[in-house]
Amino acid sequence: MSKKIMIVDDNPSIIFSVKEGLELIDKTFEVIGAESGEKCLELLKSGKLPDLILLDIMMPGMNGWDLFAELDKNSEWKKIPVVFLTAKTDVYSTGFGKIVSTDYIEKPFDLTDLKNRINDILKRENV
Amino acid sequence: MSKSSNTNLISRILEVLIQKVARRTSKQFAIETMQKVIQNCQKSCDVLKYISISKDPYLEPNEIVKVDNLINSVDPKEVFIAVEEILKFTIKDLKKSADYFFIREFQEAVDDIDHLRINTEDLNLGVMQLEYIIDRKQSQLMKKNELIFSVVKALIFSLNQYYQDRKVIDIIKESINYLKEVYVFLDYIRISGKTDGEGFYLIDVGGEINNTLSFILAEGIQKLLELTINKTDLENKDSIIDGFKLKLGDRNLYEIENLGVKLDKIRIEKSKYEEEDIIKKSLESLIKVIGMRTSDKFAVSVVSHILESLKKSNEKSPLSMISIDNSANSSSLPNCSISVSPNIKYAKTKEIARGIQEIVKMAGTHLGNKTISFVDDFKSQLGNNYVTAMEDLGVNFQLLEFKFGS
Repeated sequence: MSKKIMIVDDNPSIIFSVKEGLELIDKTFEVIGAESGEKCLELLKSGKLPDLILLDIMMPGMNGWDLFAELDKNSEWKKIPVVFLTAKTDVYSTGFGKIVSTDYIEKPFDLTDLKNRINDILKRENV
Repeated sequence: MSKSSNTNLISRILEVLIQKVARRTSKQFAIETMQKVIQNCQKSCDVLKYISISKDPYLEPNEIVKVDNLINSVDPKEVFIAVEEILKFTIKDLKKSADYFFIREFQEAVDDIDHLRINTEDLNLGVMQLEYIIDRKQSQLMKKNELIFSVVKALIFSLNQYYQDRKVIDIIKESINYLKEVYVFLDYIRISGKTDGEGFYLIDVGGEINNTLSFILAEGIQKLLELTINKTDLENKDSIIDGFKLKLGDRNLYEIENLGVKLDKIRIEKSKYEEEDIIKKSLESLIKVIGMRTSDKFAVSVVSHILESLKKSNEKSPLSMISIDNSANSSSLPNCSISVSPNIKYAKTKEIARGIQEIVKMAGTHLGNKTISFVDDFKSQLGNNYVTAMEDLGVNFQLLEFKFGS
């Protein structure tokens, strides 16, 4: 059974490397990319509900904060574990991220570490 | 009492008196005092002309007092009157060296002499003790107008920290006008519109105030302070009392407390805010402060998560009466409405305060070195009035800052 991961990041090269990397090192991963918060919502509304969302905070337009708030408002979407992708120096992303999100990963991250973290969370969340 | 014992009575009483005075001072001083007292009392008690006090301090007490036997021809009542006069004068002359216990010691010493106990039945020392207390109070009365002057001056000073001179005077005058029907002495306080050389309003407290009974004066002062402080629109009314105490000074503070004023019993009207207002304001402020660092919508999520988490960890907490609906629209907050059950008023304020404190603590706990500024911003967002109201409720900001700081 595949594990659907959605990565929301305005940087296409990050989406690409995460998708390629995760799917390569673990065949059970299926990574969906969304280049903006709006795109993420669009995908969710279309019924493409992932098992976990990797969410970048600093994005133009709808940022990671607002997207999280939108996910939080929806009774189905709020069940999806969210991992914040934060800059190391961003105290607020990590600080508040610890309170609301399932986990947070500081950029730049190692793909193997990311894979392990995702697996741990999915196991913990019984996904 | 037989006339023949007059000599014995007066000589023994004077001997005891000299001994008791000497114990508090010196024998020499006791002798001099007694000479002075008898000299003074002779003006009103002719019987004392039969008494002489030796100046030699080396004599035994029974040799110091010399009583002419002619005194035995005098009516014993006159002797009693003379003894009372001597006692009163001695106490007055000794001032601080004599006190209530001096009279009691004297009485005990007299009682120890069997035949004197019988003879002094008419000498009502209990009454004298009471008179002594009243007399001491009377001497205090002389200072009452000065004390009231200091009280009014300290009150003006304290209020002046927050209000302009004119307003301060108006508030106090309003209080006086309201209270003077019950506490008539307040009418003797005049606060002039004119100022002295140092720019301070001239206060005049009539000497008539000295005739006011202490407990009425104390009650009146307390009411004046209470009413005046509560007339202000300050949230932190306790600070007025603090300023008042500071200006009044330790000595006057002691005096008014001695009079019966209980500053700690002054009922300060607490915050006009209900628990519901405080809770809503604190959550709104927290959302705004988090929103300034992230986004408004996300801030709502953060606070909602914290609230729900705390509610789960303690279902009996008053926080269970609070809910944040992030799907609702609100003009003051983005996509959120905070509702508080009216039953919150039945919750223990300490528990409410603890709940709010936990929310703030949780919000700031992972912010590292940004935590202190986070709390500062939170307080600024609340505003002084709400900070005070929260502190009145029991929220301990200092503890929060301390915990975050450490």
